[in-house]
Amino acid sequence: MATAREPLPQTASSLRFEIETGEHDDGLSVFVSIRPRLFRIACRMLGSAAEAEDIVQDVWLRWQFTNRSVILSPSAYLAITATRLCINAATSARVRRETYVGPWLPELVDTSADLGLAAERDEALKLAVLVLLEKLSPTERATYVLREAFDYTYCQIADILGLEEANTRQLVNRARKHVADGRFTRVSSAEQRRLLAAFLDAARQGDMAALEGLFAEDVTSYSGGGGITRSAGPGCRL
Amino acid sequence: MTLDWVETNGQAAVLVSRDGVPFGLTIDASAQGINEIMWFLRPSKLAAVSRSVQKVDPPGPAVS
Repeated sequence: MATAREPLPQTASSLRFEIETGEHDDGLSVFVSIRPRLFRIACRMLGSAAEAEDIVQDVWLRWQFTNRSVILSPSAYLAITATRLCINAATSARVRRETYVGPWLPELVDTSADLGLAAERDEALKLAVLVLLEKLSPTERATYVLREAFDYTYCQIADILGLEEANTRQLVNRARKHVADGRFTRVSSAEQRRLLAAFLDAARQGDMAALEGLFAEDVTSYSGGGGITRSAGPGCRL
Repeated sequence: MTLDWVETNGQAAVLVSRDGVPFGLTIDASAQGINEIMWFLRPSKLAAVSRSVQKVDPPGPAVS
């Protein structure tokens, strides 16, 4: 990774770009290497792959207009930029959702194809956690995501968000407690799949007794149509 | 009605298409059983997953 103190690598492509745009190739290769991480942070901050993609594009545009020769740690700089853009986007999204019809649900994000999405500790991408995170302030949410999913230190998070370290600890603890209060001990992914298959079976056969046997006492049904489609619920026969 | 098993957000989910209208469904569970059933009806929340179903074979057991 090139910094202000190191000479630029003289590869054939960087020489080619250097004639017209100076260190263009350097900016691209650094960005490409950290791009997947920026996308994953944004996914957990916003609960939407499409919105996360917009953030990454925005970071790229800003990166091109940044004087990169004075940036000592491009990866830290890019993570800061992405996180701050996410906080802005999450803040305006909260305003929009105040007028959202029905309960808000995150977007389904396909994690089977992208190994990177599943590779990191992905508690923060679980739907139930995304729903809980949605109730935090964007800054609290950012501290939780950076600490829990990406293992940034409190000191790094404080730098990214422009906060005191002690304050950062407080925000992370609050967010952790909020998530822990709203959750139950999870079952394994095999058991989750088995229960979903059993639920589908029972629902399609209209077997109410079997359905009730699958439910915990405090079962909740969230139906996210945003007022655009018809609503459905547990009573909806598959 | 068609069912496609997908992995979303690190958990199993199904994409159901009934009379050509798609929706997504998944659950969260604890040792006590199913705690949350989530129905995804808004097309924009399904778009990313629907596209990937075209490319890969649906994993998981077939549900009859």
